Amino acid sequence: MGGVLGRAGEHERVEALLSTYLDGRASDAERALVERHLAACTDCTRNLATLRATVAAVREMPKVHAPRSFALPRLMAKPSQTAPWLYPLLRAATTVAAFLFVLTVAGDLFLRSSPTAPAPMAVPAALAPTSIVMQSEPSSAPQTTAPTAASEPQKSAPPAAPAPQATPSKLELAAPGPVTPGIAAAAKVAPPTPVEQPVEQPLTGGGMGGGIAPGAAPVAPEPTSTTLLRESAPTPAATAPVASPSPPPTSIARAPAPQPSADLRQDNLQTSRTAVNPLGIAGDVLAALVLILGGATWIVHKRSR
Amino acid sequence: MFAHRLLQSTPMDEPALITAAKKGDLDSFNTLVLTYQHQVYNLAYRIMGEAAPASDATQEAFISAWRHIGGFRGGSFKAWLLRIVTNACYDELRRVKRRPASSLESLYVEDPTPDADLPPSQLESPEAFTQRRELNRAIQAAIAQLPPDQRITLVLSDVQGMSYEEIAEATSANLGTVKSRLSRARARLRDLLLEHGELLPAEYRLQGKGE
Repeated sequence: MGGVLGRAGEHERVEALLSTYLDGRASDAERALVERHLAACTDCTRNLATLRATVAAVREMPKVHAPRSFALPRLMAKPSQTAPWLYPLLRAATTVAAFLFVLTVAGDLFLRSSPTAPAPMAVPAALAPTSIVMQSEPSSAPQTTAPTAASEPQKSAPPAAPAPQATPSKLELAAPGPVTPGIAAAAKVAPPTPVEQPVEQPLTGGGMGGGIAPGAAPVAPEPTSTTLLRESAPTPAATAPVASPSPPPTSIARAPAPQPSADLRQDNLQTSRTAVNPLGIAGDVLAALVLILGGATWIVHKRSR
Repeated sequence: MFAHRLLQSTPMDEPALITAAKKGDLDSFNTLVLTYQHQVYNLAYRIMGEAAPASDATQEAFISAWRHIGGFRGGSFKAWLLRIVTNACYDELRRVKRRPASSLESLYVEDPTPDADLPPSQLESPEAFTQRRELNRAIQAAIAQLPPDQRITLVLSDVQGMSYEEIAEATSANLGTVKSRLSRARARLRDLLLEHGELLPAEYRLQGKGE
């Protein structure tokens, strides 16, 4: 049967088939080939025997018992039960709270910039936050608030971060002016822009702030504050992020305004202590809410992974 | 835990336990864990060759099973579990591979194989017991020398007793691949055991060298 070459090829072929043959899973043709070859090839006969012995030895290995219980601990129960709906819910709640917070801040700022409110209010509102965050010591001008806010939490709850920084500003600097529905409505029209005003005004002389809130004009009636602001935040690039909902972290723009604004800050902190603004309190509550919700969202998100 | 009582005494209502586990009932799931953990661990141990990574893979497998039990669409729960632990072993092997190779050598030296806790049977002489234990140790060490695909295929077939089709499903390979992996794995294992011929029981050696 066949020449030397053909036989050699058959030998390899049979060799590879032995395992399947052993399991009784070779096709009829394969089985016929193997059996015919085995009858003539002592090597393959021996190989089949050792292969069979090997498989038998593996099969006879004792069953190994688990060295301990692999039952899952109780704390495993929570994520798989709650995570599916809890996370989206928390995220949505955080977003809503953050949006309301922005509205409140906007309304607050608008209030202060209106004629009835004390003039310099708009500036400290933005500056004060920096005094809370120690790292940003050099009081990085008004525009810092929004960018830090949006960029810091990054993942789950972007608007969560501004809360802690902005909170004190409103408590202490709150304008005494009345909260009228009209103001709230005005704030709703263009929420982000009022924040921008203090900076935008002196720098670009209007720019996109033009069509905004009616209260834009009286924003910084006091010359000193405007000047200081201009010094501390001269770059338009730095102001831009304020308006955008999610500015790049880099735009937090090292806009250091060392001494002057620090002084200004103190002045304003003192003057503002006298007033309590319901809108400011609402802002505080919202800020805390955003923080808590944001934290919870983050935790749930982490645990669900 | 009461799950344990269920396991031993009453016949387990597996579908009910699975349904409850899908709804988040951890006790039901843990009943299933206790039922299958020995088989799961045994498979992991034979693939990994060592206790610690086998435990890791087993733990990973049950955690993964718990997380994804919602995706279990019926069929054999055991097969589903074994597929998960097989994947966990793949991952674990990849991890081990990235570490400096120490595990392969250590097998030959001193790995307290759990086989040792099986006492010699009444019929077995101490010599036979020792020989059997040495053989098992040699097999385990030889398996550890196989590349992951062959190793897993061999263990699923000859330790776990799975059919070619089951292995194909568990390893996401086609039948031809399973056959050739198994063939190469067995041949390599045989060669390794023959190299350490003294570890093969006498009758195998005679079969091997005779003729």
